[in-house]
Amino acid sequence: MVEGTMTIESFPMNFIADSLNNSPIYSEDEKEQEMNKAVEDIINSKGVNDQILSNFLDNSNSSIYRLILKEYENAMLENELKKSNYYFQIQNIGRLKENWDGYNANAPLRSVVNNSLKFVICLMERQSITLNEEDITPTPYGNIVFDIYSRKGLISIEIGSKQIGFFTDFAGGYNYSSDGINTDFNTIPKELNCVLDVL
Amino acid sequence: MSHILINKNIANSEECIRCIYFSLMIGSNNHKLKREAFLPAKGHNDVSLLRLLYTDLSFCITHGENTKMNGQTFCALASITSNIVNRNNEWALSEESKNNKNNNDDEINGVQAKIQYAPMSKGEYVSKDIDIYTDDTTIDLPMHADLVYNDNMDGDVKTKLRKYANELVKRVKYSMNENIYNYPWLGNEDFSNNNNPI
Repeated sequence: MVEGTMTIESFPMNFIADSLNNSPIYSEDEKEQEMNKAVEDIINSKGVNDQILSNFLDNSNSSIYRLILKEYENAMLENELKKSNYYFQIQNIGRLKENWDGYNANAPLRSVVNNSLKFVICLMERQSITLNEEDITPTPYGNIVFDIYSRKGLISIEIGSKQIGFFTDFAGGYNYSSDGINTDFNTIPKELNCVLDVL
Repeated sequence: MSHILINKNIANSEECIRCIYFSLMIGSNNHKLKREAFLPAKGHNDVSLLRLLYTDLSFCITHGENTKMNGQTFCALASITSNIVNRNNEWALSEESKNNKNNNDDEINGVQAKIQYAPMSKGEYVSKDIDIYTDDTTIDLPMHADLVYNDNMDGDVKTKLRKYANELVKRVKYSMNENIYNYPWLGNEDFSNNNNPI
């Protein structure tokens, strides 16, 4: 759960409604009941901080609460992302034009920039990962690279328009690489997750 | 400038210079040269270099200043030789380039590169059939050369090529101003002048 305090005024009520509407498991009546209950619980708690929200969501058996929690976390992560240096670095890279390096480099595709923003949210969810914004770099052929350093060594991750590729440069021992994994960039592919676990 | 014939063969020890820009080719805090400085653009397999034997550091700096783009600031020069490229090629064909060198099923990296004679003028390559001299005023970059990769650049992501460049950049030497925000940049003694007759 991300840190921070949220008041009832700023709570993203639309996510509750969206979650309910997107859920196939509820009848209209059940959706209305769930919506009323969620809103009532939140209003009763006045100022909602993460711990309170997390407690009442975790204590509920209702799957809709889990959907709401996930949407809430995503919203908070997106808010966090927009305040982060990662966001500015990726957006700055996205503003590069053709021939940005004077050597015919390609401007990053919009899809690559959007994929990078999605991917960095996934990285932010893994709190053990340390990434410096200066280690987010465009390639001359229009992709974006994330270099994650640790005492173990380097994991270099490349974001394309449809694929993620990576390699490691660990001092001693085994290394890992992938020539390209198809992904929607909303989650970290399991092959890469395993490598990130090594750090 | 002296009237010197540009040799179409590039000696293994001949230094070639790559102009480096801040901040996308070099880290702002750690000042580490990035592998992306030695990767080609889409649809290309070549990276531009300047042969120091037929020019000097002042020209390289001016060239770097003149080609800066999109808010990137020229900040450093990197030096590479065919010896360095050949050593990297050996690595790429060796067991060391595997993820696990003890695993026979693992692939070697396999990427290869070489430095080639490639004079340019007005953004176009000049025919390799004609002889070019250093003082030819009709040719902008008689000292231009290319680092050419054998990789076909297919695929959405290019792991093998990036891994090759990651290893290559460890072998490259580069020189930058102590404070990269201060301009102009001046070279330092990292660059040997014993192969620079001009």
